[in-house]
Amino acid sequence: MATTASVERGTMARAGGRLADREGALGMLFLAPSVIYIVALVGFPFVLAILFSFSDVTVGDTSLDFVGLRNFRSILASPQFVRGLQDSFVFTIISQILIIALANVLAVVMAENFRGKWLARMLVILPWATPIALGTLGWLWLLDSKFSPFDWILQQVGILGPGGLFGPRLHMNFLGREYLAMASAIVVYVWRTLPLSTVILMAGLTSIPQDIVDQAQVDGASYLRTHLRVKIPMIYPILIIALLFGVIFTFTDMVVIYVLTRGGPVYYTHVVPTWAYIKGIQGGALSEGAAVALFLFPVLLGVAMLLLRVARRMEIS
Amino acid sequence: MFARRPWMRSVFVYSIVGAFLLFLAAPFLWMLITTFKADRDLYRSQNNPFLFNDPPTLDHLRLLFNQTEYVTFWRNSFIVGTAVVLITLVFAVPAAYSLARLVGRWGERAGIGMFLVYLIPPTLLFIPMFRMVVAMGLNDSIWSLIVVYPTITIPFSTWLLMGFFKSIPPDLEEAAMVDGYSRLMAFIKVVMPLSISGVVAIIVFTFTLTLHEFIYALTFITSSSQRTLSVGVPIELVRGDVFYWQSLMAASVIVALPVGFIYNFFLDRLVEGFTMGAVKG
Amino acid sequence: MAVVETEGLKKYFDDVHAVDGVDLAIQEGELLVILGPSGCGKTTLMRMIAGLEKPTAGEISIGGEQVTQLPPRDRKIGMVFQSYALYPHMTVFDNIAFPLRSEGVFTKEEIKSKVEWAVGILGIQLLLKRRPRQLSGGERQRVALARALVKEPRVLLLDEPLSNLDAKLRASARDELQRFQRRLGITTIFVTHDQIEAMGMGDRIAVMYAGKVRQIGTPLEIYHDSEDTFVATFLGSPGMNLVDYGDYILGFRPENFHPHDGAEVPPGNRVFDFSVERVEYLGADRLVYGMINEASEETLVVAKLPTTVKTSVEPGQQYPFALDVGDLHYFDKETGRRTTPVEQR
Repeated sequence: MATTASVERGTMARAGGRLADREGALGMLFLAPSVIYIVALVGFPFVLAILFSFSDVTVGDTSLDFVGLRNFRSILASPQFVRGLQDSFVFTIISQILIIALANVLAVVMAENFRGKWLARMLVILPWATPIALGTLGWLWLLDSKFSPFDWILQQVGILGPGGLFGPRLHMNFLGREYLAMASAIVVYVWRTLPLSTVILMAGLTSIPQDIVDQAQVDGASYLRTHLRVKIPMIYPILIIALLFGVIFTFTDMVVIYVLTRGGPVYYTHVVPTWAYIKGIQGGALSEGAAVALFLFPVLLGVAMLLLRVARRMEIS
Repeated sequence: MFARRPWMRSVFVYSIVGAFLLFLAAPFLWMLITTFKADRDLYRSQNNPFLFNDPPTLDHLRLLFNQTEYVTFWRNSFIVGTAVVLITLVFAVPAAYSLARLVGRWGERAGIGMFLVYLIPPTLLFIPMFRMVVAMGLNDSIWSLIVVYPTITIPFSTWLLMGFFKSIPPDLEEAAMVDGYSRLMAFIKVVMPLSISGVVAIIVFTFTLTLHEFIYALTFITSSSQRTLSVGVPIELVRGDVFYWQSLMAASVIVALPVGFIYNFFLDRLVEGFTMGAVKG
Repeated sequence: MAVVETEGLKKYFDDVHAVDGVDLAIQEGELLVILGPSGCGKTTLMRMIAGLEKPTAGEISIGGEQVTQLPPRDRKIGMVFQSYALYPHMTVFDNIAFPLRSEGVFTKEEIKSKVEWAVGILGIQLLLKRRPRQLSGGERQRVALARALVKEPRVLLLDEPLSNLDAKLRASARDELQRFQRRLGITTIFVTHDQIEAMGMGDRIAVMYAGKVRQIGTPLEIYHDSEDTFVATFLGSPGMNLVDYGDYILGFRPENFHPHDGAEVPPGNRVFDFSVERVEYLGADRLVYGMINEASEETLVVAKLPTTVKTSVEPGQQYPFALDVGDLHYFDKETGRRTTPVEQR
């Protein structure tokens, strides 16, 4: 019986051909399809995006006529774009600061053992797991100008309505007023990204050896000191990763603003991706849209380099 | 701080967790309640939004399923998701194995390169991608998504699986090869069975990635019969200027809850991928 | 005055009695070693003294003060873990300064001078700017010690601090540690599973097994006057022989069991018939394995003969072997505790 099995296996090996044994070639064969796919459907469009941005391509006129920096100049001259670029940074930076602070608190308490922890974790990641558009829809209704439950609560407490702190109006109109709309967008960004950052932080905190934490206790450090001076520095790479992913997901996101405000009121909550959509697809000026979208790239490049630096630092230590 | 009064610690923990849960999960509870609220109840701003002042109704659910394209959206999302998962597996599994075992030093660089591709977002590429899709004749069809989504899912899946394969001791494959298997067979017979959990995680995340995706779906597709859930629900379930809120909330919650539940199971693998294996979830 | 006292200290993890009633009184300046095999509860005991585990029952006091309810930071102790637990992202200086900074009452100059004092004692002045990953095992151990000492604690707790060192380093590290403890006169509790370490270092040794302290005494006391069968067999290499002997368990150490030459039995000696089964030549000693015919059951015993004993011993033969009566230990069959047999009372 043993003989038949080894003969069978031997035959299989030979039937697979020498290729199955030549590791370098096998490696190429395994890798090539994915590389080709990516180059064709990511690399090529990327080059196209650059080409478009220097041309006058529209939905109607598909010929690629070179126009130099005209698109970029007109973009930078438009107040909507400048505001959009500003908002992209403002939203991303503020939401990330909030997220890091909140994720620290939540990660610490979630590290405790308490009843219903599995359920709690599921509820915590729900905003992240839900398709962005659908989660944002929920907030669209939560912040509705006429029927928001927040308005109702504020009315009951007396903050809205005659004599109230924000009164005598009955509704906050969260999405219709410039700064309130911006703040609402930030809240939704935080809501959506907090779960991911928290979970990453949680994983980082549990990877710290118990000995170190015990030693800090014996050394007389308070809980806060241990957290800030011992634990957090030990998980810097992980923190940075959580931060960088948060930046990417928020900075390049188009859905939240599109569903929540469509860039309104007026153009006050536009961000770069939504403006690219409005200009390029809705407006049909593909070249201008492409040029707008390209402004995302420098930030992404910066993030990518930071991530690489972190990865390298982790390999060393 | 809580050494002398340990019970206070529990109170502290539960109240902070509670506060966060309020922020993170309460919107879904609210959406669930809204689903069943009668029009008369919902559209009265004086009414308590958290209670059923008029009896709850299934009307909006019926509207959602019978009078809108919601079911079509589910079907399309499912088809796209399944197809993309299959394509991703076919491309990413061998690629990951190759990077993990077969290509050495520059394999690691290539691996990082793969990961960085993941950082080129759809919001940067969607305009030229749109032209390419039109040129391929795929616009306004779910096939455009089936072809394009793998550009997002393959890099991440490859990265995740690569880390996973690396964590399997090479001794096992080497023992198989000593026993007479070729490298290819060793991969199929030894490594694959051990990687089931990693592959399942990939399947889950790839599928949910396709559920989440918005901008390609918005840009490439205009007919409601071809729309997926992510775009169909916010765009199509609005009749003219009228938002059928209860149905919209229902539509969202029906997707959110199962996805959240399944995500929770595979979260640890996802974190491993994100933190580049720095932390074993 | 007893610096550290525990009374009826217990720690139960569900059904497991990790520590099952321990009473200790450790004197000022004493180096007490807690010795036992893994799982005996010694680390749990130390962690309770440190405040890292809450006792299920019992009291602990340090320096006369009841500390059972206090967290570790309020107990004024220094501790070194087996892994040394150096903060990887901090320099050696910052590691050692950490306890002082945590107290929050010292100025920068005070911290600097205290750290310099601590590194002076341990001879690691040149390492101040390095990070833990750049240090050798021995260097890390000294940094951990300096950190433990810098706040001048009342008690120093050492959890197997030598286990992570190379075997060659261990002996000299042990010597240094002991001299250094003597010089500082700091009350120290040292946990180990290595009896050679324990015997070499301790002023007193507390032998632990299954959550209880079986015996506490000076190294000589616990070795020559072992009070129970566990202590008797745990100490010594090889440990004490135990044989069934009528109503008792008879114990004697291999090195006391020698061939008897000559016809006369000197007073104060007992002679046994020893059937030799096997002889091992270890260079400096011979280990002779066999059975004593007088024993109630067939048990293998060992005799350890130094090279000075020239008598030839062959397997398969029977020889008279003698013991000094004072080297005979009787243990109760049920409790395993040392007892005096009826005939001798």
